[in-house]
Order: sequence, then structure tokens, then C-alpha cells
Amino acid sequence: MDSLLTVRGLTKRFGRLVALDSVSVDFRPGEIHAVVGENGAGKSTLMAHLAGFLVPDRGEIRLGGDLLPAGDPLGCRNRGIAMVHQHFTLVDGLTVLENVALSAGGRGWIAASQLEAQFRRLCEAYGWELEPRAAVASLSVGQKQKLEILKALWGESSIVILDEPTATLSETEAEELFVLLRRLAAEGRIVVLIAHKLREVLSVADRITVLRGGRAVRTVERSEADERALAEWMAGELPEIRPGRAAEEKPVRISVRNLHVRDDLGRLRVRQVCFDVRAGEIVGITGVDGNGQVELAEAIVGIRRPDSGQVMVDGEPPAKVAQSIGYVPQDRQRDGLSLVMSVGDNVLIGLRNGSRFFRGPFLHASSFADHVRSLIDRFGVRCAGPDQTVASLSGGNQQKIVLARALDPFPKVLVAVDPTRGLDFKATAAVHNLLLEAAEGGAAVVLISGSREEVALLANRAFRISMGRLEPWETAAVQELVPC
Amino acid sequence: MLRASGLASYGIALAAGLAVFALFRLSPVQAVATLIDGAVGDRFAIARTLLKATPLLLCGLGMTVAWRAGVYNIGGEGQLIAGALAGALAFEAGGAFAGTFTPWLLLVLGAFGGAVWASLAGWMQSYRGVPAVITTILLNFVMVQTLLWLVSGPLQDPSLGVPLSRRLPHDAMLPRLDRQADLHAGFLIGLLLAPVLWVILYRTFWGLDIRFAGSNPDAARANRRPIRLVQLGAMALSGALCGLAGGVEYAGSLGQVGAGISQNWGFLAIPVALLGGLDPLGVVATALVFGGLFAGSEDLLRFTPAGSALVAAFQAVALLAFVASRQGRVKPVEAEG
Repeated sequence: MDSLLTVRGLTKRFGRLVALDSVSVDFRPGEIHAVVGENGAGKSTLMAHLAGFLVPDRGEIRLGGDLLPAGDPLGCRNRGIAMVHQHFTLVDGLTVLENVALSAGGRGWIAASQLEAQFRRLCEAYGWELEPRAAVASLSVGQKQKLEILKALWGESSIVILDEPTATLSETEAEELFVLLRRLAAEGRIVVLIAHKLREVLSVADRITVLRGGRAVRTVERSEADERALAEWMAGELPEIRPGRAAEEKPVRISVRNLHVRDDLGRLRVRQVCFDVRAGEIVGITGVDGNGQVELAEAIVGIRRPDSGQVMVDGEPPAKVAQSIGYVPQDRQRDGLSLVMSVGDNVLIGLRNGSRFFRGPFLHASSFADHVRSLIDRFGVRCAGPDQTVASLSGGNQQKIVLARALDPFPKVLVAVDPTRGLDFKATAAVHNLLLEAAEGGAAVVLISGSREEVALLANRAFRISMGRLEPWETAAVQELVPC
Repeated sequence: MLRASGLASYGIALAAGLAVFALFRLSPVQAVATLIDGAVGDRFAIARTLLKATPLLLCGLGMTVAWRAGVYNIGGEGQLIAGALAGALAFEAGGAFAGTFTPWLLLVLGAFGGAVWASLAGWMQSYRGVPAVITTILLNFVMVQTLLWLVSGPLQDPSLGVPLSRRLPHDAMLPRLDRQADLHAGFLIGLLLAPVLWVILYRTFWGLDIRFAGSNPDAARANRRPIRLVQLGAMALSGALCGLAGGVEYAGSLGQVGAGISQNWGFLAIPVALLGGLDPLGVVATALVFGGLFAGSEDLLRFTPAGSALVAAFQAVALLAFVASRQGRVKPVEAEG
């Protein structure tokens, strides 16, 4: 069991994007090794290589001196590498034991009694109370997490990789998880932990590797790091937040008061949020994914009803003034576009003030097509024309369509969530310019982004969002929280 | 629309269907000749084909609009019956009125009846979260039983010993295009509505909303489109088209309502719509092909030794082979993103 996992010169490109740039790390038996970095730093790509899901362009991964079979997840699993994914990979309709059987694999009859005996032994060893015949749907999130880990431990795994395991856990559940991870490490395993919450990382990890832009910036002992240092290594040199300029005198466009918002499952995701955005101002909100960003954005644009509190856009509820709000949703493929439909249709669906292209109820197809062509030119969308299906465009070009739709004509209010996710350098710069242009044109812009660099670069003021609450962002030069 | 490579499916379907004949030692050559002759052989045959295609076309258009909106309407049959019954009930209630406006009024009532019946399922999907796939199937049962009760009770013609409603007088029927084959104006209505529906789908904002709701409801929502209302409206239009088919069968073909008001037209409309690529103009083509199959089959029954069971088996096998060979050609409609 006691063998070193070594990563040497690992490089992986996706098209023009360099996801991993000659990364070298050692993972030692008996340690909890945290990997931290901003969104897109390469954490998940690195893990996907360790678990055999991806084949590197260059470099190698060895376990105890033997090369790991790249691109062969089952082979890696058989060598004792187990992965606990960020999202549960459980079948809700099946029992706990059936889920274990499913992941353990095999063929023919399921040796249920043998499986159950083994399951109980493992539970006993770790002091867990998991009922093997319970339906997974009836388990709490913490119990599901345990079941995921139990699945990972099945079959004597020597390396356990966990991708943001605490994202959905309560604090107590997270604390229990850390006790377990320490024990797994103490038994001689390598525990690799991807995490966002630096406080957690510092409390549980033995060593920490920081990734930035696909490079392993450094690997340090826990004692050598503190939260501030980690944040700096993750983000690199942060540009100064630009001062609020003349925004003060301009009218307040968006006013958010005491806002509470629930997600589709009824969980409170936005808590007591208050802020104002003036015309011509970009307010940045940054934070780790899943802290209420999407729910906040949806409440501001008026497609999610607040649980309590209110959002006002120019003194009206946002649903009433949809015509003056541009929205760039986080997930362009899920919420932004219909991929099977054409560029033109996708522009038309989000068109504000589009009546000039209609004669009564009927679309004037040729004048609208001309308009789409002019947008294609103006926003530099690389496509054959208005009739091309969106699915056949690159991600960057798809995003440009979402932006073109949100920015033409310039809206009074713009809400953009991760507008540059997955875009290359040039496309990112183009999007940044568009956001600045929108603000200069008098729009009140809310920029919600996982990239702190982006927020620091563009925002006049910035907040951090954590567990649905806004807090002023420390590094920001100008701060003002509207008191509620 | 038909494409060159799609023609192969017709050949495969025909071959599979004819294999049924060969299996029972009947001449496939004679069968295919009879089939084609019965579908397009002469003026009479063509008129029969168009007559059979009429309810398929109208219901197929109905299925198209609902499915495009992401509401999987399986209830064309019930909606068709609701449309026919709405007309028959009004005819009875109005004391068997008859005038030149009567057939057109029956069609309007038919569309209205189908729309109401479909809207019930549409409302349940949009505002109660119950998928239309389930509710429309169940509502079919309800409507079929309602039909059986009505035609053997309140609607039954007292002068008849069989469960049929009172026959419409001649001037309460739709104008005939071909007296011999009973072809009536209903076919022209379907032919006219196909391009109308195309314009609605591709040239109006409601149509855009419908197509967005069906292909990516999340994106429709993020673009602040009233997706539930759009889907309810699409369902109402879908039901109206199916109900219109019921009205057309009643006031055009049959003149009275009985248990056999629909020859499964509402169900057959689903493959018609899917194979037509959920495109109104494509539906015209597939409805004609299906119409030809059913018209030709009648000649198979009449002029070959094949019994009705064998002809039904032939139709079923040919349809299955057609659907199966066209599998990859059906446009994907994504329900959830």
C-alpha cells in the first residue's frame, strides 16, 4: 500500500486552452494533500488524469514506480485509485447495498449476503450507521457522502481523490468527514482533496499544492501557509480595484433589499443581501460556485421569485421591466441558447425592443436576417450566417451570441454570470471590453464571476459571496455596504 | 419533406409488408400491384387516398405543434372524438338545425371541443406539473368511454337499433369534391392549414416561443419567455386541430357519430408527425403516404384473397418497418436541456 504517486511534467491542452502546463507533484502515502486554485486553474483536469479519465499530451503519472494506464479509468481503479466526484454518483431509486454492488461491478448473480456482510464490516470499522437496505433517496446529504466514500474504499483503495467533498455538507458533516479523512491517511492511504474553502484546507491538509492557470505554482507544508498567502498564490498579482469614479452622482438603477432566495429544491441560497448599483457602474460579486450566485442573478433579472425582500429595477419589479434588463446566464448551453436552433432564432428569442422586425404578428424575415448579420459582424461571431445551427459553433462564438443578445440595444441593466467561462484569452478580452462599454453607455452592471481577477479588473466595487451572504471584498479599495 | 435517402424507407416498408403476404403463400407481386392501384391507380383511388389522409393530416399537424412545444400530446384520439362529439351534441341540442352555415359551425365547434379537452391536459402539465404524456393517455380512455355512453344513450338516433347518432342532413355536410369517393372539403382545409401552421411556427414570436420551449425550456425561461403559457397555448392549438379532424370526419365523411368515428387517426397521427420531421410541410407528405397505404389496403381486402386480419398485419408490419428504418431521421426534440 505504501507507494508514492508521482506526477511529472503533466501537460494537457484542449484546443488552444492549456489546461495543465508541465505540472509535477508528489503525493505521499499517509498524507492529506489538498489541491487548491481558482476556477479553471486545472484542478479537475489534474484529478481526471490521476483517475485515468484523460490521456495527457505530455508527462507521466507513476504509482510506486509503475506507469499508470492513461485513459483507462477501470485500470486505475484496479490499481487502487478511487475517486469521489463532486456530484453524487448514486442511484436514488436503489438501495444502499445495490448502489455498492453497482459500483463494485461484476457479473451474473449478486452475492447479496456476502456483499452485505462485507458492507457491515466496513461500516463497523469506521463507526458508520448506514442501513444497507435503505433507499438512497431517504439518506441525508452527509450519509450519501459517506456512501460515496464507502464505494471508493471498496476493494482496498490506496488512493482516494475527493473533488470538493464539502460543497454540499453542513459544518458538522464536514467536520466528521475530516476526521474520517485523517483516519484514511493514518492507515497509509494517499488522500487527495480538491477544495475551495481555504480555512478547511488549512485545518485538514498536511500539504497543499496551489494551481494557477494550469501551472503548479508551489507545494507547501500546512505550516508554511496561511489564508492570505494561499489566496495570493492562487490569484497571482491582483490589479487594484478601480475607484468608483463619477458613479456616485448617477441614479440608482438596481436596488436589492434584504433579499432571500430559495433554489428549486427549496433550500435558502441567498440570505439577507442588500446592495445598490448605479447607472454606469460595475458591481462585482465573486465567490466559489454554488454559493447562491445563480439564484441571486435570477432574482435580479426577475425569473426567480424572492423568498422575502425585494429587487427593484428603476423602481419597478424586474419582471415588469424585462425589456431593459440584459442577462448573460452562467451556463450558456443550458440557460442561454437552444443548440438545435439557428443563430437567428437564438437572437430573436432574447431580443428586446424587437417590434421593428414584425409586421403585425409576423416576422419580417429578411430585415431580421440583415439585423442578425450586422450583429454577427459587430460582435465578431464566426459563423456562416443567421441560419447556422448554434450547436456547430465554438463555445466562444456561442457566448458572443448570448452577449450580442444581452447588449443590443444597450440595456439599462446588465446581469452577467461568469461571462468569460471557457473562453480563450482573446475572446475574454473582447467580452471585458463589451462589459466596460455597456457601463460607459450608462448601464448598471452586475458582474458575478468565479474569477476574482476578472472582478478586480472590471468592477468599481466588489463583494464576496459566501453561503448566500455578501461581504465586502477585502482587497477592494472602495467599499460601501448599504446598511439594511 | 421527403428526401432521396428517405425513399429507401418506403421500399423497406413495402418489402417487409409484402413478406407477410409471402408468408401466407399469397403473391406479393399481385399484392403490391393491387396496393399501388388502390392508392393511386385512378381518380377514385386518389380520392380515397386523400380522404384517408385528411384526419391524419389534421391530427398530424396537431401533434406537430404540441410536440414542438415540448408537450408530448398522445391524446389526439380523445381530442378528435371530443371535436366530433361537440358538433354532434350541438346538432342535437339545436334541434337538428341545418343550413349552409351548419357544416362550418360544426367544424368550429369541433376545434373548440378538442381545444378544451387538450387544454385540460395542457393546464395540468403547465400549472400542476403532470406530464401530458400521462394525462392525455388517461383522458383518451375517458373520452372513448364518454363516446360509447353518448352514442348508446343521449345521442343515439331513436330510429336506429345501433349505437349511432342522428345522421346529418345532406346540406349540413361539407361540400363534396368527389361524390364517388366521398372526398370532401376537409382535405383542402388540412392542406391550407399546413402552410398556416408553418408560418405560425417559423414566422411569429409565438412560434419561436413554441420551438424554444420544446428545444430548451431553460433557455426560454432565462430569456424571460412565459413558457407555461406558451405550452398551454400550443396544447390548445394542438387539440383544436385534432378536434377539427373530428369535426371533419363527422361533417365530412360519416355524417353521424358512432363508436367507429375514429380509425385510430389520433394515434396514427403521432408517427405521421414524427416521420414528417415535426414540420408542417413534412406532415403533409407523410399523411399522404399513410393515406395511400390505408386506401390501397382496402383494395387488398376487396381484390385479393387476403382477409382483413392479414391486411391489418400487413399495415402494421409495413408501418413498423417504415418507422424503424427512418429511426435516425426523426429530428431530435429535447425535452429537458
